[in-house]
Amino acid sequence: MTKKSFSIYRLIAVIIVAIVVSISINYGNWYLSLAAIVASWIFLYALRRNVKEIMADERDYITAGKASLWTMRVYLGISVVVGLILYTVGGDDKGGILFGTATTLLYSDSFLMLVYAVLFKINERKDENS
Amino acid sequence: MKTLEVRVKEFRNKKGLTQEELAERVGVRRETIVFLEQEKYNPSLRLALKIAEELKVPVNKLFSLS
Repeated sequence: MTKKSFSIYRLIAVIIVAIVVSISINYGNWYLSLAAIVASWIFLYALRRNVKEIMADERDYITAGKASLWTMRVYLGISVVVGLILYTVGGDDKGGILFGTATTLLYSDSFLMLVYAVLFKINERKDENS
Repeated sequence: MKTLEVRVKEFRNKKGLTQEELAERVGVRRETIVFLEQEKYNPSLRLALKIAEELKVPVNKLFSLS
């Protein structure tokens, strides 16, 4: 199988999963969407094993690393500013929606930084050993 | 600051290989060889050695600082 045909199959799988998930949300059936996601994952995994061409190489990994870092920087920068604005606008109303949104946003930022730090350390050690 | 001078294209042509063939042999995408030959990408030591081995040329002849 070529890389191009794999991309087409992947696109079709994504479209089918999106349709199934939207139908399952309407019916309130979460198992259906979960089953569709798992089935498509298995289907794509099986297809990917048949692709003889190189899907990604060292340059792609470096590019992906840079893109991920910048995505995180942009997201953190914006969400911290938005969070602080919401805290300020929300005032002393600790039960309000603005306070809740700001808290969720800032806790998610902290979680993201924590995950990044842990994964950075793990990957750093991997590189040292390889 | 010294820049990396790449002579992969020259030795690849001598060997009669296309970019696609060289890429396949060293396990990277063709685009990586394109960027490498245009001196827009610094390869890893592992890739540099693989290319040198494939083209049967010492690595210091393929890549040098100028």
